[in-house]
Amino acid sequence: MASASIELDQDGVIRGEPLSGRLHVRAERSESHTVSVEVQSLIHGKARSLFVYAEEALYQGPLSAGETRTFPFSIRPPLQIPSHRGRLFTIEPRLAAVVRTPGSEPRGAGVQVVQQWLRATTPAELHARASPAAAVALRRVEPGGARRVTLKPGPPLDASEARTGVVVALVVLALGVVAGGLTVAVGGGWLGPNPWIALVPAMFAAVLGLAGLWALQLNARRWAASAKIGVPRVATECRTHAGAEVLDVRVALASRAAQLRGMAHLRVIERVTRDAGSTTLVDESVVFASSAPLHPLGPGEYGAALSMPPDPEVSLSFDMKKAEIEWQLGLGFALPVWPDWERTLVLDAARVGVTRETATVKVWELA
Amino acid sequence: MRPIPRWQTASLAHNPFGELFAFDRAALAVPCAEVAALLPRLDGERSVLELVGPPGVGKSTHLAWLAGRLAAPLVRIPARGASPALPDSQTVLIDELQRASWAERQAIARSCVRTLVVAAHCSHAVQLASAGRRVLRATIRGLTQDGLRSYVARRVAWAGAAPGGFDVPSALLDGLHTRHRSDVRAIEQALYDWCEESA
Repeated sequence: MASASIELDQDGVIRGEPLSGRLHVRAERSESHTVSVEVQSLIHGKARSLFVYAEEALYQGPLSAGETRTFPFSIRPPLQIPSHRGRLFTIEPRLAAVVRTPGSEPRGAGVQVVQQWLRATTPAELHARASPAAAVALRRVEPGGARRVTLKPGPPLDASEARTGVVVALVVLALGVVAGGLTVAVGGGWLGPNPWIALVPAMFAAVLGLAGLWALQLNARRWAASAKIGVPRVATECRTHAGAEVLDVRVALASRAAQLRGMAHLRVIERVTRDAGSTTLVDESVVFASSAPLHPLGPGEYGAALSMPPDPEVSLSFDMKKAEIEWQLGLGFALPVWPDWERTLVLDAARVGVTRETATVKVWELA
Repeated sequence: MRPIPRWQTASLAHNPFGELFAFDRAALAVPCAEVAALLPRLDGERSVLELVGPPGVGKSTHLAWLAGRLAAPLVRIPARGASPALPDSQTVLIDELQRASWAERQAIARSCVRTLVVAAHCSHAVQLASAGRRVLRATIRGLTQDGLRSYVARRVAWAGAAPGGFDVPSALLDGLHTRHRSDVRAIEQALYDWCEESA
């Protein structure tokens, strides 16, 4: 057993810059100790996990009971650590002092962890506090620096869903016709020796036939609408601009329709998958959602400006075994007379162009 | 902007009813008396302690607690794919035994592991006994009302609440206990959602 505390040289740190300070350890018993500092991400909520991004071993050896030792350290957090606060799970980067004693598990019971949370904050927030460390951090912020987010669309949009629906409807309709024919042939028709025997399969055939006809007209109309609208292609890059907090989504659309009204929806959802023995539980929660009308940009091209939430840290795609953050772009078009056309794209959201300079738009704060 | 959830308002480190690491689950478990009473009888040659109960009653939590008590490895049979190999140990704990195929269960029963502790939704006592093992069976029935209160208090303290710093109303607990009965997982989820609401 041991107790530990972290003393840092600075109040704030810029991503990619080293974190330095001293780690004080006081041994409770005379035994071997392994002391290290780690930059970790702790995921908690409906999923729980721990990622270690950087580690610096400080000491391995015996410490006698009551002995206090100080270990200076300097550790460099990586440029990109996911950070997220949601209803289902939270990803919190932290600087952890880890003291292991004999019998403690590598990442589990018996490990003494002292933590300092690393919180992403905006330069404006730091400036408002006007601490000397904030001023140091702010000097490194480039005015007008933009955080770029690339949203790569997933599988292409197509009309296969409606086409499959038409095929299924035709199969159901054919089954209805066959069942009706069999009823007439085997049961002797409606005026046979016992019409009640024929009534049941006849009703079954009628229900199948009606379901087939209904599904056919619905899916055929959808298919026709898809064919009329065309196959949209989503532009590969969207950008958020610092300050403006607007995500420009450009949708390039080749359409034969003269009149088209469309909407674009952007959702970021968090999802947790849990193994519950006999079943798998999936929880989903919308982190944010916004929608905007699509307006024509040129021949066969539409665009929309989707506003972002005021949260300084918009979570990017994150995927682990049990928890994920997913960006979805929904596109909807309405044509007079025809059914509405709706598709959802899963977006591969990744921060690009984050160099040491541009990364300074977001500053890690030690909380 | 998301409203500040109850647990953050109360300055807790995290939602007390979220997912746990296995060692935390073991530390916070409220084991049922039946399992604790059967533990001393487990020292016989080739014995099996079988924990049986529907999903959500706490079988995996009991296994985590027993893994700590017996200082033995815990193996979880995956939902898909082959079962993992049994660790080289005198005592092994196996979760989700019902997922193993008949042949895999047979191999587990006939293995040279001296003491097995297994958890499953239904009993496999006949198959385990036919392999020459003495089977002790405990049915897990969730938590009593008092047990639930104790468990909730432990979870809240684990999340960093000072004594009396974060109270879950008794009426809420009693209502959840009446509604979900033995399904502790459902109670945990309801409490998680309650903690995520703004105060």
